[in-house]
Order: sequence, then structure tokens, then C-alpha cells
Amino acid sequence: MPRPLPYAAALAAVLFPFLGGGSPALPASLPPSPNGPAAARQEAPASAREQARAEEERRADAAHRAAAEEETATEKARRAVATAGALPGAAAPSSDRPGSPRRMPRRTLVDEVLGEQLEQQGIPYAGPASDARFLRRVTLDATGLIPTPEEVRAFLADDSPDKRSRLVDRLIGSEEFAEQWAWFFGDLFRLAHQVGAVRNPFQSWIKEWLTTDRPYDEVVRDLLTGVAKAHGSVPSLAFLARSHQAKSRIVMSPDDYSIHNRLDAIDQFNVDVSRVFLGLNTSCISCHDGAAHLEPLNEWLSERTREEFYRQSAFFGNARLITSWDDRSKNVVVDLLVDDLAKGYDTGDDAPYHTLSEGRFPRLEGLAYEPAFLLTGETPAAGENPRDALARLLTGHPQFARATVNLVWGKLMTVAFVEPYNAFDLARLGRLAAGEEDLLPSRPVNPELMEALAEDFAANDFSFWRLVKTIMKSEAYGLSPHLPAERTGEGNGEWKDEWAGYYPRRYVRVLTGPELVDSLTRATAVPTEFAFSGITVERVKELTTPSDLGGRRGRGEGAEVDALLQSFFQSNRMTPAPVGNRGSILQALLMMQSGVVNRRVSGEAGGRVAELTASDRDAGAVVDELFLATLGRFPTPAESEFGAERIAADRVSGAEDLQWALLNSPEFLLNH
Amino acid sequence: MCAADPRGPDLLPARREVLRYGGLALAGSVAGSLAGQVVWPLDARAAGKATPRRTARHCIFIEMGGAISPMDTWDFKQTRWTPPDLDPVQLRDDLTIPRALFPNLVERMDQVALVRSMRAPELIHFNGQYHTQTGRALNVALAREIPAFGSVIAAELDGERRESDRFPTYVSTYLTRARAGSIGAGFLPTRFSGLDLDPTTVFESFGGDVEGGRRLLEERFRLLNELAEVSAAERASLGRQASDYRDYYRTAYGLLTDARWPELFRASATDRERYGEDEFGLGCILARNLIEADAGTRFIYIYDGDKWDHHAGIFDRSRRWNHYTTCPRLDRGFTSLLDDLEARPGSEPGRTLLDETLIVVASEFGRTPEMNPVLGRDHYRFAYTTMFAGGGVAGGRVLGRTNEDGSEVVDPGWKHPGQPFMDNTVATIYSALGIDWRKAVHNTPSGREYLYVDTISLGGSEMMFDDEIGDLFA
Repeated sequence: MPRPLPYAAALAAVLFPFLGGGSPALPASLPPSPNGPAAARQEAPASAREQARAEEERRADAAHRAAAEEETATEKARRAVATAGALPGAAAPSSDRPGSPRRMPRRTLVDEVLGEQLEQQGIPYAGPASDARFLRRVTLDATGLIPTPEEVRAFLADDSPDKRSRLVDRLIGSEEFAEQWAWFFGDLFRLAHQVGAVRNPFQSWIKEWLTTDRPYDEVVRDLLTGVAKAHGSVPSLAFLARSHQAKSRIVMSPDDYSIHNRLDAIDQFNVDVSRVFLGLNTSCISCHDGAAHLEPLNEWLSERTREEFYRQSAFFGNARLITSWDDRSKNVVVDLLVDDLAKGYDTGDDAPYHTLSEGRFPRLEGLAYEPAFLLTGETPAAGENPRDALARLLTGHPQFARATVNLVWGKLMTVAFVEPYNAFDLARLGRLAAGEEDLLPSRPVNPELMEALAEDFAANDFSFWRLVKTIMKSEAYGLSPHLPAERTGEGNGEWKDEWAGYYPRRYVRVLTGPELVDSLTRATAVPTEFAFSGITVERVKELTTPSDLGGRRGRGEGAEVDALLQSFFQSNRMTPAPVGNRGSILQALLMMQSGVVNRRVSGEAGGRVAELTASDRDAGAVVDELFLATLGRFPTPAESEFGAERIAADRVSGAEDLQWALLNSPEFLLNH
Repeated sequence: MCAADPRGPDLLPARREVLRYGGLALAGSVAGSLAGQVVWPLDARAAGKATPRRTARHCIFIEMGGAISPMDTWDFKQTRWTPPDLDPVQLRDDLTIPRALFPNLVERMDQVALVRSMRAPELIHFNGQYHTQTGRALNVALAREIPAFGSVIAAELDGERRESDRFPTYVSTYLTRARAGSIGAGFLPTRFSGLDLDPTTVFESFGGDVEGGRRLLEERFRLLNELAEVSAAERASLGRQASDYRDYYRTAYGLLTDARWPELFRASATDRERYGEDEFGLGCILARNLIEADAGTRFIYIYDGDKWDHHAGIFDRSRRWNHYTTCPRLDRGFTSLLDDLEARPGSEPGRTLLDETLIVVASEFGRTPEMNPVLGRDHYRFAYTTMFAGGGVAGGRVLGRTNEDGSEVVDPGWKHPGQPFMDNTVATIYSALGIDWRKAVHNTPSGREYLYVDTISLGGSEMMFDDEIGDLFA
């Protein structure tokens, strides 16, 4: 059994966090756990290189434990006081005994469910993340930015017990919060260049409901039901009315049906609606029945027919999307008239197909379909506008809340209940609720928590803020990414895969493209200038779409930023988003070579390095600032000494090189 | 196994993927899947019988973004819209090339082969360029896991990499600026994704002060490693993703500090004049240098920058991009590439690099035979032309025939009754590089079999054949 960190050392670490106490206390003398991976790796080193590697890993493992204990120390001390009565012997080492983990604090609904599960099943969980790490994590998740040095100092200096909760309250609803989540929804809503001139008002509209916490069901109702003479005047219509449905901007006459095909536009919209609001991938059944195709993938969809898909499309059967026409330029003008005066979803009277299936799956002609909700078969009430009816049925169905909760949980906790977010299998979901054993993939990893969050979301006016806060303020969200062997119990090693669905530690994720570039900008205090409009903006997310960077046609930094974004899996918002959370050689190459990084760390850029090196601060203070600005924490004494030596040797190039190395460290590239 | 494994990479059991771009791909087997998406090792089996020709060691694929108009160029038709100054040269009964547009190519037609019977399912650039890059029609249900065909090549040829190979097998130029962007490796490990270089910037950023730049990088990389030691305690809790990044950085650093790397970004004044100095000409120079370096790169995808979408004024000299500018631009870059590869010895005695390099020039679709009211041509999918050269292709061959105005294919020109698609162009590339194009990957994340060449045009009524265009080869 590894020795637990002596209580006195833990207390010292709490009282003197800036001394970096705690971390040097353990590693050198601690023997590796007999069952630990380090020991296994050491047994048969085949070559000198492997031996060196094993040694490196052994040291890392030991350091691991020390770091995690340091993180834990704060909470241990706090809990020792808070739970002394409730949990006899909570402060004693026996709390780490296998099968009897300490009681997890219940801060929000999330902990009510997870804490119960963890304790009932005797699953160990990590200690809380350090304050600095928590600040960086929550700032990135809420705003897509790393905290500023001032924010880090203030947060660390604050010793009130509710500071994490107050931090969340301050971030949620801020301008940067709106930008971050408008980009998130922009990816989901495929807010691309092709949306046309309405894309800017559309994004403003998204930011507006994010800033005011408008009930999400109302938001979705707006997206589905708008009517306008020119759709630019009703921004939410941009989801439905898009200029990319036009086949060509130059057509023979205003009556040319090939400008766009109404039914294809509707079908595409139906696929998007199901994907974002119901977590379903209906693109398969938009072209053919699910039977004999989807059985191994999705039981529920394998039972759906193309006709059922049409019937859901038919909720938009009355919607007309009429392009306007400029006689002089012979161009289609992107503003569309949107109303409900068409005669229905009738396959007989439309133009050739040019969008989704491009004529490869022609519809049987001359058939009319009546609207029916894909999930329940419900139809509009007498006299009810079908689009209004769909908004009512969709937002009233539990799957709407479930799918939304899954999206947000995935973004904040790295791993969603259902991955990818549109892979829900409703047949299996029903059985799971009934308690049936189901080992097929794509089942939710924690259906109980998903249901609890979904119910809470629906019962509280679909408040997006409440949902985000319920997650961010939970103990589970604030855990350390490392679950040390000391906590897992004998024979368990460090990690068991079957624990994954209980989120007993933080899952690390790679920053997204915009998060990365905007954090680079903030760390170096050198803003990004985009060729797109010649304006200087501080954040990529101030723009509306990735194409506004001017990447495709533009010159200069826009293209370089675009290359970085693409390598960090930014969606082009046309095809489904690439798989995220992956490192790559290309990322490493760009981070080391891109001017976006190298120009910014240069003392000549007039940013942070220039300001610090021109100041009269001593080398140690410069190192402090660079660590705070780039990694959101103070350097350890060893790091401080290491950095200060560099800066003493050559103040400017030392600072440049140090910030370059910090930006290229995994600690910067990951949210942890 | 592992359809949609819900665990992220952070959750997988620690495994050491020893990433060496050279030689060894993976030390030990990497089981499981990353984020439920990456599949390795591939369960790839031949679904049918195919005999790859293995006539080429390298391949350069040039995408003419926006789509060239065949009837004004390689499937020339004299019509009432044809300007009088094109100087069409009739080389043979079935081969006329306008000298005003292709002054160099017209002299080299004995080295290239044309397929005039190509057909596309798409009419939209985005979908068409997606198809061009992946070798298959866009299926939105599966697009997340579909790799670029260059990534398939990289995975297939991985076993042939030598100890000295340091450059990625698949390199592209300017592709992040294409309409579909650079499509990644799909279900394949990310190391098979294309390394995309932007020719408009890399010559300055990598080719300038080579010594100074390299010294600075060496210094900083050393610092990065030293810092990693010093910060080991802080980083330890980041787990596997942090150590993965260490591997990615080592590999990238090995590439950047390879002596052959800065050589790639050498372009003499003469080169620049011969090839052209924009993203296309410089992309061709990069391709030439990559093949000459022979440092592991086998497939190069050049995106030429979307200049061909002439919806109006296709012959209007007042426009910056019209046929009088786009065609000679292609002409210069392409024929310079032919010249230079032909002048350099191949890996086997008596052969030139051109003998060992298949060059393909293709668009996403064709353009309307009928000129529109603003004297441009719109998108057309029933007939277009693709050009092939080098790498075992029989020069001078013309496959397929269109009718009088180029609106219909009257003879597909190969052994099958239907027209070839981009999918078949990819099969041809696979064949030349020695890859069995009838393989299928069975252990995809979706559980849906991934065929190297699709046998159906995504459910359409159009006939498709999972075959190479074999008649191109000598």
C-alpha cells in the first residue's frame, strides 16, 4: 500500500500554496506500487532506450501522485472540518480504504446522482482540482478563453468558501460566454458562409438569447416557425432559409425552378432539426427505409420508414421559400420570402432535385403526405399551423430535453452520455429505462444522470444557464483529472474502464480551434488582424463563421489562423463536424512553425513579452507573469528558477523562448 | 468491434503509440479505437479480385477547383461561341487543342492521355470537391468517418516506408482553402491525414533564413523538452494525451529539422518564372521537390485555387480570371512539371521520375455545353474530361467520345458500358500505386463497411463499376 500523504504536509500545502509545498515531499522515497503500471513496465526493459523511458515514466508516476495530492490537500483540509460530524474518521487514512470511499459532497443535482452511484458501487473518485486549474477549466468552458493573470491572482487570493460558485455566476451570461456558445451553436446550426447575408443577424440573435437566458424551447420555436417578407428581418429564419439551396446564382429567369428545390430544402431542414434538437441521425431514412440497412447501427431507426420521414418533413409542407431576383444583375438576391401558403408536401409538382440527394434517390411522384411527428405519430390539431404544431410536439417531448442536455454535458464533461450526439437509439433507450440489460454500443453511459438532468431542464423553463451552472457548480465537474492509485484501492491500479460512465475524475480534452487561437491571443496580448474586413479583433469568435477569416481567398494572418483552426478540428459547417479532441502531428508542426504563434511571442510584436521585458521587473516576476498569462498558474520553484535563468541570460529572447515553450506545452493545448 | 465507443482518448488504457514517421509505424498493436472513431489495425480484406498494376511510385493529383470547361479545352468543340483567336491545332482526327490556351501542352499531347467520358453525380462545388477528395459521393450519415483518399494511400503504403523516410506519405498544397477544406483521416489514425502546405506562405516561412530559423527552432525545442522535465509534476496528471503530444512534437520536430526539409522550399527565379508564382505554380514546384527528395512522400494533392468557375464572361479578357488566364496558368505549371520530372532519373536505372510518377488533372464536374446569357458556362455533370500522364500511362491515348456539342457521352471508352466516375479515377491511382482497390474495411466505427471504391453511386440509378480505368495504361 502506498503511504498516504501525512496530514501535516497536506495542511502545509494548503497554508503555503505558493511555496509549491507538498510536491517535493513524496516522489524520491516512495517505492512504486507493486501492482502499478510503473512496476510492470520496469520488469523487462528490452533496451537502454526503454530503460530510460521506464525510468522517465516511473518518475512521472511518482510526480503524478504528488501533484494530485497537492490538489487534494485543500479539499481534504476543508472537508476534515466540514464533515467531521457526519463521517466518523473522515480525516483518517482509512478513508482511502477500497470499497468505502469518502462521501462526495453534494453540490448540485449532478452530485446527487453521481455521488449516490459512486458510493453504492464503491467506485473511488479523484480529489478536487486545484483552484488555478479550476479557474482555467471553467473560464475555457464558459468563455473559450484562458483567464488573465489578474483573474488568476484575484481568484487565488480570494479565500471565501463559495468562490467557485460565484465565479461560475460571473462567467455565465458574459459577452465572452455568449461568443463561445454562439460559436458552439453556430457549428451545430451550420452557420456557414452559405447562410448568406443573414448570418450576422442570426449570430447576434443567438448571442441575445444566450445573454438573456431565454427559455430554450422558445428559441427552438422561433427557429421553426418564423414568417417574413424578407427573411433577413427575422434572423432566426436563417436556420430554415439559406441561400446555399440555390443551385446557381445565375439563372435563366426568375421563374427558373432549378434555383432551388423546395422539398429538398425541407428534407435537409428536417434532418438538421432531428440532429440538433432530437439527437437523431435521420439522413439515412431521408433516402430509404431503415429496414435492411440500419439494424446493426440503430434499432429504432431501422424500424422507421422513408414515409415517416416525409411525414415529419410535411410539417414544413406549407412553407414557401421564395428567392427574389435582380433584373439588372440577373442574380438571385439572397433574401427569401418565407410564408405558409404552399399547398403541402406533395412530390408531384416540384423542380428537379439539386440538394441533399441530388436526384440520386428520386421521390415517387404525385404523392402527398400529411404531417406526423416522427417520435409519436402525433398530428397538428384542427386549424393549427403545422410548423407551430411541430414546435409544440418537439419541445414537449422528453427527447428534446434529453438531446439538449447530452450536447451540453458532452461539451463540459468531454464525454457525452451518447456519442456522437446524434446517435440516440430510442428503442434501446426505452428498454434501459425499464431496467433491461443492454450491452450494445451507443447506449448512454449514464442514463440515470441524463434523465435527471433532462427532467430538471424541462421543469425549469428550459433554462440554459441553469443547466450549465448545475454542471459547472457540481463537485464532479471540479474534480482533478488524475485518480491516483492511493485512492483506487488495492488491486485496482489507477483506472478501470467500467468507471468511465460515473465520471469519477476529470476527462482532459484538446482545445478547439477558436479556443486555442483566442487563448494564444490572450496569452501573448497580441490581437489578431483579419484580412476579411481589415478590422482588428481580439477573438476569432467575434467573427460569425470560420470563412469570415478570409481563409479561402484572403491573404495574411486569416489564412494562417484558418490552417490552425482546421488542424484543431474546426468544422467547415457544411459536412458533419470532424471528430474532435484529438492531437496530431500537424497541430505540433503548426504550433511550432506558424507565424500566428511565432510572431506573437516576438518582443517586436508589442505584446506581453515586449511589455514585460521593457519593464523593470526582475526575472522571477517576468517568469511569474508568463506562467500566469499562458498556463493560468504560478510556476513551481523549479520552473521559476529555470525560467529566470533564461531571462537573466537574455531578457528578450529568454522571455520569447519561454512563452513559446509554454504555448507549445500540453498544459496549454489541453483543457484539464 | 467498437462501434461508437463512448470513451474519449483520455479514457483509453494507456498505450504507447510510438510514432515514427519514418519506418516503423507502430510499435506493437494498437487495440481499440480512439474516441470511437479511429480504427487500427484495419480489418481490411479484399472484397473482390483485382490486380493492381504498380506502375508508379508516386502520384501527383491536381484538382482544378471550380471545374474546367471541357468543350473549350480538352474536348474541344468549334461552336458559335468559340472566339476566333483560339488557334485550334488539330493533332489527330479526335484531338484538337487550342494553342492560344495551351501553348506548351499542345506540343506535349503525345505524353498525356485523356478520358472524355467522365460523369459526376454532383452539381454543387462543395459536394463535388468533397467527392474529388474522398473518391466517393458525400453521404452525410457517414461523413464523419470517411477519410480523404490520400489518407487511405498513406495507410496502405505505410508498410513500405523506409528507415530514412521522414516526410508524411500524403502531402497536399492549398487544400485547407478548398471549398470542403482539408478532409482528415476519418476513421484512420490522424498521422495519416495530409500535411497541407500553403504555397503562398511556406516558401517564406520555411525557406527564408534556413540556418537562423533552424537554430531558433532547435533552441526552443530543447527548451520545450527541458521545461517538460522541470514541469513533470505539473504535467503528470494530464495523463495520456500529454504524452501523445510529446510524440507528435517529436515527429514534427524530426520533420522540420531534417536536412531535406528546407530543400523543399527552394525555388529558383527561373523555376518561379517557368511554373508561375502563385499557389498553383508554387504548389507544382513543391510537388516536384517532394518527389525529388524521395523522403517518404508518395502522394501529393495540389489544389489549384478555385479559378475555373466561369459562370460569366468565360472568354472575357477584362475579367481577371477567364480562359485566357486560367488555361495558360495550368499549361505552365503542368508542362513544367512534365519537363522536370522527365529530366530527372528515377529510382530504377533507365527510368525517369516521370515514368514513376502518375499525374492526374481533374475537376469536380463539367460545364454546360450551352453558353448562358452572360457568356459563361454553369455546372454540368453528364460529361467532363480528366487528364493523366506519367506513371505507366500510355501517352497520346484518348478514351471516350462525346457528341457534337459535348452534352452527351456516346462512347464511354473503357470496357464497361457505363461512364467512369471520380471513384474510378481513384481506383486507377490505387492501381498504379499498387493498392488493391477492391478492398473493404470492416471494423469501421459505424459498423458500415468502407469500400475502397464504392460499388453504388449512393443508391442512385446510375451504373457504377468498382474498376480502374485500365485502358489508360500502356
